[in-house]
Amino acid sequence: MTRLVATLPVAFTIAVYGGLAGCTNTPCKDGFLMNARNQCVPDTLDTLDTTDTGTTTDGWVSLPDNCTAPDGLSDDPLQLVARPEDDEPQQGGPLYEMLDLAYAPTEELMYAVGQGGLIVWELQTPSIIGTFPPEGHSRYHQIELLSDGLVAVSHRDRGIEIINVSGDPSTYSVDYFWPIFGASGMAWIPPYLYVTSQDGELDTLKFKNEALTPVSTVYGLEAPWVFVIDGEHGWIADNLLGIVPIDLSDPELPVIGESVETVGGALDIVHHTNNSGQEALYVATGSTGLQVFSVDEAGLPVAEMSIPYSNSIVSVAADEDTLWIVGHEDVAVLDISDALNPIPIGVEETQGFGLHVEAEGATGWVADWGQLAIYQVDSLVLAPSIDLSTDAPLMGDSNEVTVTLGNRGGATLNLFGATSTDPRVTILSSTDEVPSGESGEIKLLFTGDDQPLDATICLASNDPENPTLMLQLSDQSEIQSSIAYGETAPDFTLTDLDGTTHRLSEQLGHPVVLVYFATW
Amino acid sequence: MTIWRDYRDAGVLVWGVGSNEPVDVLERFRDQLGITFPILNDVDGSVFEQYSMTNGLPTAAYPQDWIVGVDGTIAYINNHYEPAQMISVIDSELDR
Repeated sequence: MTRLVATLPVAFTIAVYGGLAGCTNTPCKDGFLMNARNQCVPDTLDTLDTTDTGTTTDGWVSLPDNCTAPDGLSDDPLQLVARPEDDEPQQGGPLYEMLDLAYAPTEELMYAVGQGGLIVWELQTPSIIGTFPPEGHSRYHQIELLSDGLVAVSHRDRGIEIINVSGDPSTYSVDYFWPIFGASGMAWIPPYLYVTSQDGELDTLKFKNEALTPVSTVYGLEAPWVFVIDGEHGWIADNLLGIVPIDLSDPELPVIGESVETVGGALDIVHHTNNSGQEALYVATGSTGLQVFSVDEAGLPVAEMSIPYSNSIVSVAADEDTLWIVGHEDVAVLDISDALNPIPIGVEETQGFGLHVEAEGATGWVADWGQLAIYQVDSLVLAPSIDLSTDAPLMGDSNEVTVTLGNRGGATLNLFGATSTDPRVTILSSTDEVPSGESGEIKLLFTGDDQPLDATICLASNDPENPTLMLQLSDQSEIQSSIAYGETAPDFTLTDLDGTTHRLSEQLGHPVVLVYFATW
Repeated sequence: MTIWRDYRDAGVLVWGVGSNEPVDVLERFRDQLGITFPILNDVDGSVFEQYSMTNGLPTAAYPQDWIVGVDGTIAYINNHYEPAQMISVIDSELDR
């Protein structure tokens, strides 16, 4: 997947092509150069010295020859080790997106749920050994392993279903169910199954003696996603409220405590005790990244630190001294031997669209849209890891762009070269050394004329995964908006998914944020 | 979107617009991303056509964020999610 790190509405469009197609130190054979379109072309046409800013010849651009990474880079500590090939899963087919995973170590199976229903993976290849329902297509949200070959799944419309998975997948059946509209997160502390609902409830069910019975319902949540429990304390990641502490001194009547805000939303949470016995809560806060909380004696979260990422973080998992976080486009691993001060180890792009992560030891399993991707980390290898993002000028006149050069690896990032193929793009300044976990920046200036801009900025560094990275700059003239800033917004009337009608012109006096998106 | 969480009490509306998408796909999208603001179904894409930004890079076309100011004019256009910029525009609109 080619990652588009940033697009800028006015001054530039920037696309970053990472890893250069295969991610080796020498992406092209001897005698060939990589052009701006990531193609290997003969280098006989140009012999460049280090002061040359590049030449356009017959539609391709040769890179300045000082934009090469040196030999002898360290190993890459974080590697994708297995992922089935995509074969364009069809909507409703068994390979539709997976929202939650549950690892069953004794069976060496991974249970996944999502729009394809319940999907069972064997972990060697990995490959799918069965789905439930067999034709796929259900709206399962989350899964919780119970005991004796049973799993509980939540379904937004139907509630909780307990599926017997003890035999071959073709024999799976729903043995018990309980209706809870908007069912989302679950936690299983036998014999109690706690269920959160997007209607704001926390339901307690009892599952004992072959019966699933309701015990209590308490209210006070907004948009709960994930519920984790340790002893008498529990915590709910609620995307509107933040972290909601739950007192479980009476396991049949949970008490909802006062919520603690996060820096952004709260899409996933883990409660973890590391190898040194230190306790922490790790929260995926969406576009604001990862946030770390300590837990006081009363079980209340205390904000300690947060780490922003250039892509939205949607899931977290921890095992021993390793923390895994997953965004739609990134898998990142951090060392949590100091629980409240995670130290980055590395970051790797997802092949598809990351939705969930589970971890054990040095292995991380990522629900990568409809595929299960397996990653391995060697936390003893220290290497830098580039994470680029831009602080884009908004509708301004500035032709200056700052590219933030984050280092998500465990060793210092050294930038060996940053060059532009277009002389109208000047690299004003650049950090050449970025310590682990910190950020530097590259400032670019476009001294524009009327000619369109189509330039490549090449960065060479000691990142073993991306020894050369290219930023593609193209001119603003390629982006055209059908209405201009300051013009009256065209009126429209549309119905939402709940059947309510909304008319834009009736909202005068209220700022309206319109978010157009594509679901693909 | 934290803007919705932080600003809805101040009277800011956030509308998601899905164009040319089946309802069940939009519902899945809402569920998967945990969206709590209204998602408007632009069945035939006509609203999107009025607002769309086009771009030389196809992958850069989404998402598209617009802010309509308190006076009904366009106060912000971006095809890259920049929450800090959006918040500054919203704050200045609320001060008007």
